[in-house]
Amino acid sequence: MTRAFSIATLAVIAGVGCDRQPSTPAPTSSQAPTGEPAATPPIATPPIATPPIATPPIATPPGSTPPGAELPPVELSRGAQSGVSADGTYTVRWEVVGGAIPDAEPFSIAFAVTRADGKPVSPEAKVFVDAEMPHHGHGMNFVPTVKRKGGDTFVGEGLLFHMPGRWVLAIDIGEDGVRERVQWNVDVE
Amino acid sequence: MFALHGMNCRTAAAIDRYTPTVNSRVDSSCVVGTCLGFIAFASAALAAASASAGIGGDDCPRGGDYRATLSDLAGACAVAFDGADLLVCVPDSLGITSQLVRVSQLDADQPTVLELVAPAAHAIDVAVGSDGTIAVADAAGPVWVGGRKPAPPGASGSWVEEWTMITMPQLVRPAGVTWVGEMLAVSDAQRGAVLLMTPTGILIGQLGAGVVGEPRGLAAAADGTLFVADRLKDCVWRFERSADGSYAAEPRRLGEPGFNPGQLSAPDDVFVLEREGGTCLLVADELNHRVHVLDADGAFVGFFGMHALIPRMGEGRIHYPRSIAVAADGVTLAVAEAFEDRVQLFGLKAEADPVDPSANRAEFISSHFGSEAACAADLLAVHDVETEAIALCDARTTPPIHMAIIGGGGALPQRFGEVTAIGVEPGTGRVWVADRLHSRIDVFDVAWDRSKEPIVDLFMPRLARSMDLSRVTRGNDRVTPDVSDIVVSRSSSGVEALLLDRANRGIHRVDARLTPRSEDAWIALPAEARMPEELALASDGRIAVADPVARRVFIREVSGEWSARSRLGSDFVRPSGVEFDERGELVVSDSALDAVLVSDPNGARRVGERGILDEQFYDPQSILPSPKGLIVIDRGNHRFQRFGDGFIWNLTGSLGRYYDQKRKGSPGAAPASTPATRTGPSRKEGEQ
Repeated sequence: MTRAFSIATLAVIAGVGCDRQPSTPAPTSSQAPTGEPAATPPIATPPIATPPIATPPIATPPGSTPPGAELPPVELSRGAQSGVSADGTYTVRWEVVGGAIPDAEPFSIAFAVTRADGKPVSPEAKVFVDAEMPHHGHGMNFVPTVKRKGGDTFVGEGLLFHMPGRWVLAIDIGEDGVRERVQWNVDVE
Repeated sequence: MFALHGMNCRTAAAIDRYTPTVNSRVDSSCVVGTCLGFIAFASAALAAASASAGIGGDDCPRGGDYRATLSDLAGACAVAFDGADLLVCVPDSLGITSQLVRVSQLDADQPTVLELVAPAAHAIDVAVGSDGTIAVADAAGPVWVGGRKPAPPGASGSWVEEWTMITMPQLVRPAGVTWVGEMLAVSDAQRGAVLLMTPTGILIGQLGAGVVGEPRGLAAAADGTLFVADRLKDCVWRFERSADGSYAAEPRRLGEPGFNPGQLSAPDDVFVLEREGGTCLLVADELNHRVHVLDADGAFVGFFGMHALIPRMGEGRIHYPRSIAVAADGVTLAVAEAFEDRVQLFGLKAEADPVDPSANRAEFISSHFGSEAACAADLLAVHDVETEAIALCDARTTPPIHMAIIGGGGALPQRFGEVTAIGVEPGTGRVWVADRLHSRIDVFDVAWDRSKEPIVDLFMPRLARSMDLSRVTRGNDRVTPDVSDIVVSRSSSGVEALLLDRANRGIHRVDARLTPRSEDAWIALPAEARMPEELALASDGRIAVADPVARRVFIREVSGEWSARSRLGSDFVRPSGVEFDERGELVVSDSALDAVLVSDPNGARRVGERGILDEQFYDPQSILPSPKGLIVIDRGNHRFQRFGDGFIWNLTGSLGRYYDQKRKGSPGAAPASTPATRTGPSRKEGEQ
């Protein structure tokens, strides 16, 4: 029928809607070409101005640390929940800042990421927090932000569960073009 | 220069009115909720549009009265008026030298259809210049320019057609064409740009590279301002032209993704309607099933053509509009619907159409299977093009039990922009999904207790990883694959995926994290490949690739040698799906033949015919193996059919409605009391 978008999703689309780079052109000719496809030649454009390739707006990676910044790590309690990404690369422990998820109010989570190989998470890593309700087909109405702290710990701010029910909380860690997800079911009374 | 003499003349084949009986129901509450919510929203929007008619100072139409249907136009994907005649691209025509037809006497009961002999291999768009010169965009590569001229003395017939082929290395995959004065503007879907050229084939420049996603139909205003429909980015681009003839570097974006007023979903074409009150844009809003009217700045004006809620529904209801054109009278609108092999004619009007109250009847809600599907062992994954969601079913059962949904439209991982390929990993049941808009492949874990009856569990799929396609390289070269199919396999060395790359015309062999394999990492397709769409891997290592534009199926032997097949019993017209059966023999679906061609010890067998019953097809697409037989996506009927050993039919199903015994009237079943296939007059008049 139509594509379904959550408000949060639309906000993201608005930010990245024009950022896709074009496909690498492949050669062709209606006259049977032969052999391995060759690179498509560039096009000279006078007198018509060729628009420059648009540079997409680049957001500061949520998980990056400003150069030289030394931040203290976030301390997590022993009750923090833990989970492992499906490919086993990351273990994440998290808890709600302040102890409990408030009813239809903004809240923050603190979390720590550990790599299975013991290496630190790359300063270039992109870390995201999101949540949705699969039964209802929607997510949150806000896009959380993630701030990196010391020792591969992070704080996700601006989450809001606007209705009771079962939510899925997801934390994504992306390095070198591969993003892995750790997720939990969260029941809100 | 080609000089092709003579012409073929025929009248349109006939189609009768009939009542479709395929009427499936989605058992997904969120999809149904979206539909009903949209209808309510549409009512309010149209009421607002109607109330504002004539007030805003513009003169844009807000509605269209249905007039007539021109049927049996095979794959009708583009229209253009040439005086009082209508030119229609028919790429699924059985005669590939007749890719373009001229329909005359549109007001007559039996319009005349002339086959032009534009020698295009796959005509995808057409435009008529002010002097009557015709330009045809050919998805196989070139642009054709020409038309009819008086025949020289002594020639048979009163006129001849002369066509010039324009081809250049920079022109890769034409998708749209229009005239800008005496200049041609050609959209290139693969390059993601608009090329400007003279009718003699001299390249002048290009627009939009790096900004435009997949440009399709385009149109120019009288002042040269160019409007380009972008199917991938769900918008229309406006390229301003200054008095000196140059174009502005940055186009303006009109419209945004979505289904609400002013939002677009896979716009395929745009038409500029200039009236005293201002400039209006009519947009073929394909996945919203409507004609969208915007002003020249992109502001919402109205929309019309209520969604055809079941296949074959028409008479003013629009189904997957691909192209639009308005006649010189400024009133007659033609809408090409390739999905339905037809063109509908409307009369534009200032008033908005009322919303049909029958539109929100739940029985009309149906699945909208795209060509993308995959199955391995016990898991079936089928793509719904309109929600960008993937239905997961237990393939062991009859019928397959629908268990979960992955995705839906959106930008984040686990949401998709445009799904172009699905693969299922044997053993683990992990589902691979290629997303062209975001240029990535997402992999999902799908775990359920197979010892128990399958149940709906929307929490079942979990994103395992999301991988940028930029990780795929070819040697030391970076490529941006346009993945049109995925086959995943497992061996002692781990997971291996074959990615069919439509843009670069080859196959990438990668591991679970898209790292190219050390051997045979890149397999180039034969040079005659044009738009490879589906990939099959035999158990002995042979590979088959279906290419509907080249009209070929390419076979790669284990030795690495390629061969091309143009027929399997019957000549291929639009081979869209390919698979190997349980004996390792080739099976090919042909969406133009409405049949599946099956290798047989005695040669080949043709299974199916056009229709809506069992073992009948309407635009068959992907073929995939399942534990209980080969599944064929019967896209035009919004369903799939399954065939067991020997390619014997054993199931017809969609999400929520299944038949495991053939209905009366189906091939091989008891005769029906009413005809199942279509006969009758070709032009259906609307009530006016």
